[in-house]
Amino acid sequence: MMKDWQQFERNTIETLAEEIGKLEMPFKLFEPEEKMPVQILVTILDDLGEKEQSVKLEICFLPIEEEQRKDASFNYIQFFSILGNDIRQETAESLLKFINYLNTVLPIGNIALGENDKILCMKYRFPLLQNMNKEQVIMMMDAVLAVYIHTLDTYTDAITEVAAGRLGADEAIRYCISGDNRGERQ
Amino acid sequence: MGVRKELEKRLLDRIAQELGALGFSTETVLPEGERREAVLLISPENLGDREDKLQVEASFLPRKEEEIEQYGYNVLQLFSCLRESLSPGTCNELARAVLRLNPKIPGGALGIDERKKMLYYKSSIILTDNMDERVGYSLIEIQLGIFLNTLDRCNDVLMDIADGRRTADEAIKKRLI
Repeated sequence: MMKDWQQFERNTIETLAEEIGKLEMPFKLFEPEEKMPVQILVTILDDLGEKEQSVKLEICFLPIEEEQRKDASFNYIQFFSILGNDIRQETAESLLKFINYLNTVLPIGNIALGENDKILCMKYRFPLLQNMNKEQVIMMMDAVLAVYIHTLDTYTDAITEVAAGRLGADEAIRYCISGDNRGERQ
Repeated sequence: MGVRKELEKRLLDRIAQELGALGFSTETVLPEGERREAVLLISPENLGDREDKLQVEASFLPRKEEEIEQYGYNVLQLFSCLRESLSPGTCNELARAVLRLNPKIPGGALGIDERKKMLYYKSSIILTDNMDERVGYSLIEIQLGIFLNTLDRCNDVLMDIADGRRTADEAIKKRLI
């Protein structure tokens, strides 16, 4: 039998899948398995930036150890996207500087390099309470999704240009400050 | 004062009240001049082995009134300045450490504000219009707990790097970050 927190997580992810479906966005729900013991909802965010890029968004609850679960009155959910793979060493310094700038201005979450500095990703983690009703959860997730998409829409072009070595960090920062934050060369 | 501003003020007041009952010292700084939002200054107990006294600022991110009405949510940010007036060399070392730490921390972002030469930690929570005050406060309380726990775990090693006692590479090799 499912515990209350497990039921809450399942209901929340399935509600989110429904909501994403209503927005006519594609989605796939991955059931827990040994390697990844949580449900993962995956969708595609299209038309980001002027380059109309597509970015995969993975939403899941973070596993909490049973011992910690006794004290935790909340569930912790994560929005996660990979923005670049196989980041080249030559662009690492420039990317570091630009990531640092972005993290200063982002309204939520962070942009980071993971897996030995090879994977560029964005993530936002936040708590949900089990006693939040369905409407409250939907409205909060809608708001998070809106801010998350807006952030990616604003910065994805510049991030991918810097990661590819086509734009320097200072140039990218100048574009962002001036409002021309798409990362396009003039 | 609009309905939303009143809700924001009530939430900040409630955080101040509840944290005061837990022994935290707090102070509210009201909007003035260029500062459009009220800020609640929270002084947690001493953090890490160094027992540093850091201050946490809780405030709603400034937004245009029409945006707020349109979207129906606000973003509350927790912010703490860990060290100011850093030299360019120290900024670089810390930036490398922060880059390594950010994928590992449970939420928010550590970073360097190049303009202010400041090492900071910040974290945000989105609060929606249909959330009652009790739910909003509980979420803020949880976020603050995670925020302080992260500072407690990261501050010592970052200050070691800031003070030149070890480099980012040394901290990485010793698996401190």
